[in-house]
Amino acid sequence: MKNPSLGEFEELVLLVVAAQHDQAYGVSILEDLEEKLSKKLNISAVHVALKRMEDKGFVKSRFGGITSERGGRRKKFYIITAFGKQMLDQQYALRTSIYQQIPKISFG
Amino acid sequence: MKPPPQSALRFLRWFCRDDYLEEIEGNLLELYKQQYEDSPVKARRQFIWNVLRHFRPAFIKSFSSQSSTSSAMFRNYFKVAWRNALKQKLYSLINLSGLTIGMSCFILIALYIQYELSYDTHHERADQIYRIYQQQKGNTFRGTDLFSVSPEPLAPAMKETFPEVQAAATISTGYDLLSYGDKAFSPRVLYADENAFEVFSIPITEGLGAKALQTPNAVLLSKSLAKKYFGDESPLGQELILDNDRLMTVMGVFEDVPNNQHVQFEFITSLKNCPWGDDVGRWGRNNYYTYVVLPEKSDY
Repeated sequence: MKNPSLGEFEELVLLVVAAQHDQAYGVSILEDLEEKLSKKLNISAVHVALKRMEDKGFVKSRFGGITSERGGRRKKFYIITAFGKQMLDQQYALRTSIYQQIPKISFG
Repeated sequence: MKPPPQSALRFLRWFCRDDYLEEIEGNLLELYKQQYEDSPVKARRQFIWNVLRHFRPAFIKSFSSQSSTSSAMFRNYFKVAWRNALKQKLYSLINLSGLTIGMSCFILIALYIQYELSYDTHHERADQIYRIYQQQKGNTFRGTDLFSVSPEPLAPAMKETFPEVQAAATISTGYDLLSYGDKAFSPRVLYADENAFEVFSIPITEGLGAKALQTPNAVLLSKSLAKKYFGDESPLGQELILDNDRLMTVMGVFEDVPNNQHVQFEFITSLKNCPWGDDVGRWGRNNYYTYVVLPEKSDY
């Protein structure tokens, strides 16, 4: 993939991964997003976004230790890569620059 | 806490890629636990829904490649098993013969049980036929005080008294001497009244069936017994001597009785010909077996 794209929901997930630095995993991302967006999300959407972004190289993952509340399953922690951060920066810069072009008149 | 629905979990494990499974399962379990504290029912429903939402191409393992690798794997297993068997000849022999004996036992037992369960099922109304038994309180013989014997007048009396008795027959069994010239045998006999043909299915191949039993000096022979006495000659109308003193006429031939029938006999004659034939009509003599046919699905 030459120019990997970043979808809207993927961008949100990537932001949360970056914000929760090194402590982001499926459930924590889901809870954070549900709280910020104030709507119910399905965990499968988060999983899909994470897998896609891992394939595109925006995030890396590692397995954590075994915890009892997961019935012996390890958590998979995600961390943003330099490439992913660059992608976020680009998106942010793009949006800000366009946003600043909005004329200062009152709407509505 | 109750574990999450196992069928959903099994489904997830079946379709999900192995490299994603641990993460997805863990997350689903964690969510399940959180929700379980609020509402167990909702948590279960949500768990199933979450599993179903993961059923999408991104998470489904590739089944085609899996089958080819697993067939290679199984081929390898067989090869390794074969080499080990050759290497450990004695133990292979012991193991294989044990397995063979075990499997043979299983098959033989299965066949035996199938045969046992097939007993008396060939009668047309097999599931409606009942044998009358009587309880003789205090007369315990071999651990039971139930006896399948009954007096001869019981069958006609039941037929007359109870409208649900569709047919009732009295029979008795034994061995009886039957001779034709110098050919004398003592085959198994069924002493029966003519109603026996209503209760049991006895296929007649030649001559008469129930009607033959209306006269006491008639016999019906099984196909193979007829052959034993008369060879290829027609048995109908031939005369035999019962018990050295009574002249009997062969009135019919019936199909040999199957081995899986609890009453075995090679010829049939009237109830009056049995050694205790004098007890016909007496209530006080328990020399007979009484069978009745009740309506279908009766729970008597």
